[in-house]
Amino acid sequence: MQNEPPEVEVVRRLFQAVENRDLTPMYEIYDPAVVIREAESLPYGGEHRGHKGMLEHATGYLRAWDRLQTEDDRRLEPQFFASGDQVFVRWRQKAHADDGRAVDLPAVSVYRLRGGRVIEATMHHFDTAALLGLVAREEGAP
Amino acid sequence: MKLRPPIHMPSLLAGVAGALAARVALSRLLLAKFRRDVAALNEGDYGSILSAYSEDAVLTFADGDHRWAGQHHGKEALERFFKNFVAARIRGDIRELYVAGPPWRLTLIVRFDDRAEDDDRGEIYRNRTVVLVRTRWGRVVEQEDFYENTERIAAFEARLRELGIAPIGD
Repeated sequence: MQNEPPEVEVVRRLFQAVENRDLTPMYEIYDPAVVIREAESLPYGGEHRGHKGMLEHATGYLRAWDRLQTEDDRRLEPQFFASGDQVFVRWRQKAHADDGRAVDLPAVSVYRLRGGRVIEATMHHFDTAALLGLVAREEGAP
Repeated sequence: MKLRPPIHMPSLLAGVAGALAARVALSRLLLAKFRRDVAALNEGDYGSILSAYSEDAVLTFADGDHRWAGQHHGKEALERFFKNFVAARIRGDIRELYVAGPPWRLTLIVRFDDRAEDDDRGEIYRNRTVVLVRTRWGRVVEQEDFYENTERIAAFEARLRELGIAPIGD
């Protein structure tokens, strides 16, 4: 994108990596000292530190959602708002279960950058209970 | 052939600088107003923050088994929302505020932390929040609240009921 703040460009690449299920660029995007905070109730929740933590968070997210998402569901529809060294992103978490249940909920993530890399990421959800309801029931399903 | 008027670079630069300065000034003004409103809300006075909303404002909150659930349409519903906020003794702190868009249609993103204490058990609720606000000519028309963990809200509701703090209804 033209005239996009460099911070937004970095976070946009992160969202593209998630949509493409490509973990490789994340090592470049996330600082080795990154702290990722996710709702502790979710299967991939809690505080994740460093590249090891980043990998745990990313693989946990994919494990939870991949089988519940169509190609279209994987599109996160991000809207970026830059503010100094921070980037706020409103995006959508979408999924469909085999029994017809579905979620399509907005979320806001806040990214803080240092030296062109993400050093801190915190996810804020519209309804973690609804997300957990779908993921947990699917995990418990035979 | 029509001749374009020459672009006067110092004027153009002054205009851009002026617009940027106005955005910074507006952001500071809004931050100061929100801090005052939230400080008043923390002391139980919701009138100031309520006055920031338009008559047809819609506040969208996570569904669930709690008194703040769902969409709140219009001033009366918003007043009930804030009455419940105050009755639950929630205290909030604005951490950051970001302003985007033209003055007649601003988008505000507010990083907000909230917590509540009970006299006996100390802290009974804490959450990290992002509030996404859309305004029309300075009045809030839409608000969406996002939480680090919405399940804490349901747990807080259960605790409030144990304490005998009933929801303020219609």
